[in-house]
Amino acid sequence: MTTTEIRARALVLGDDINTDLLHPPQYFGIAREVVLPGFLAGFPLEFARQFQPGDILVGGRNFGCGSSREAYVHAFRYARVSCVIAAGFARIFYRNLINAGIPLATHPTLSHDLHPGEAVIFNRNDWTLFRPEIGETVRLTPPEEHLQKILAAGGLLRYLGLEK
Amino acid sequence: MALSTLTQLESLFSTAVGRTVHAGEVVETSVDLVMGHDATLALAIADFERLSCSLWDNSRMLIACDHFAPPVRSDHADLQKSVLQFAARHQVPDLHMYRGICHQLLLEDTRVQPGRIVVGADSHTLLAGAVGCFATGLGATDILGCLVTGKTWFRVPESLRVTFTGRRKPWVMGRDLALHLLGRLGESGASYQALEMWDGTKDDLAMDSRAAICCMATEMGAKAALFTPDEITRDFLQRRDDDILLPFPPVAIDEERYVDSLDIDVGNVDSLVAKPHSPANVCPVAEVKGTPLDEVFIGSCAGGRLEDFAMAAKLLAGKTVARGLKVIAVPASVTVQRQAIALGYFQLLSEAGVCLCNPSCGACGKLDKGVLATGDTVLSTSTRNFQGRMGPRDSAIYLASTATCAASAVTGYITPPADVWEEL
Repeated sequence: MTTTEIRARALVLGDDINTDLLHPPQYFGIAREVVLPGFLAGFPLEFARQFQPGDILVGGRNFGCGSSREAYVHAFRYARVSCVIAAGFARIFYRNLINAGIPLATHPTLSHDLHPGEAVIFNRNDWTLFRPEIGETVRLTPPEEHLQKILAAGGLLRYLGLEK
Repeated sequence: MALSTLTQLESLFSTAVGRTVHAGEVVETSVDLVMGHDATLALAIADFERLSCSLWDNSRMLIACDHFAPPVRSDHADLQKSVLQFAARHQVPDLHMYRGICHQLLLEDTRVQPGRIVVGADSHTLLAGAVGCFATGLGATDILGCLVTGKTWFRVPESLRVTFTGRRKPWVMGRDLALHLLGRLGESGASYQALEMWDGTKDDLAMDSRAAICCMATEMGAKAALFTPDEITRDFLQRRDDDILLPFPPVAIDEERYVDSLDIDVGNVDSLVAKPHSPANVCPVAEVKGTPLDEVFIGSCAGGRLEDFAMAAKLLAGKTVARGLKVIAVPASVTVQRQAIALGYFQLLSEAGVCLCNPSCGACGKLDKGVLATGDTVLSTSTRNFQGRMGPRDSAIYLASTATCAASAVTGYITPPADVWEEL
């Protein structure tokens, strides 16, 4: 397995999942101990508990609609979300993930196709998702070329040369 | 450059980058103004200071302390302190301490002019488009990039044209028109698009109503929303800017370039409500009439302007709010507050039993006064009714206009303003 491959489980979410569900406003902050407990805290506890470090989030349409509060991205990093795939992203959320260097891609039906917790292998090199259970390779739509450059640099701060 | 073959937004970006650009193109552009507030800006500042960045232009910043106004938690006070230290260190002239919600302060700021490009570290930055500029929200890292370089990138948005005609019923507000649009477009119906709005009502949509509509375009997924500058814009800017009026950018649009066109006769729109848990879950107020309430909140960037206070005062004058009901009103800025005091609205609302708080974001995001209890139901003029946004997961948020909120504050249950209008 090369480093461009991410072997993970998919936590499957629906359409119009908003930022208040992904990270409720009372967990806004900078410190890890404030921010991390808010990860998925808008969902019922038993659902949020299914997430394990390294998992992939798979959403439906308009994923991440709502706030610009980037604390949710910090929470994603602290919780170790390895990749986010959705049918469509809300625009600020999309930019925020790219700026943080968190890989993302789109696919129109994946949130319906996968079963909760399904094991998958995401390949960042050719933007595919392999489903070992059924032996199928799913082709994903990568971000626009301009954004892939920011992602490849490891996020906006590195892309702008502000961070080494 | 032939601007007549473009949308307003394409025209605006073409002017900004000095060549003709079309929807779908990614452009790097300079920004005219960068707004940040005590919550989100704190995140950008943490990186800014850690990486010893230098500030591009401190005169092109607007900083508002509005989310923690004043703080009730010490960790929030710490975040705010980092913003205050940043403003001091970099001598940022425009630091607004508890003087209002950042978006309302943009609307009141002379640097926000038709045709300009304004970015803010908050999703509801779209509000400033009411004066005819491109205003949009960005995350903290993008804002950091703007603070250092004065530039950012945008994919030039496709535009959706909205035309308002007719005459409103007297109790119907800009907020109802926003809910109407949300009902038609849905929560992602304008994703990545710009709403270009044209007011053909002949002076029926004042700047406060336009601000409410542009603000709520965020909930439709829009990247920007703007009203084509007209006489109302001119009057507003002349009053705001002490008679200094800059020329408006030329508007000569090509109808064919719009992805869609919506015509709204405002006379056909009645009071609307967004039911839990989506701002696009819209129905007529009459459908949820009688829903018992624990709290009524009049405020936020979607509903704390002078127009709202005038409406609330009209409906609550000489009346008393329902016993045991929490009724909270928060002006969107000190300017609104002073005008509302001068016009006697505060007195009337206070006599009716309304709790009047200082200019701030208030109860909108569970960060400040007005947090809901377990199982509470609130009727609110605020921006979002996502599950748990204003309280515990099992609390319920209904969104409506200030007219609907004020009528319901008297009865204690959701009440169409039309029902009480005749008695006024």
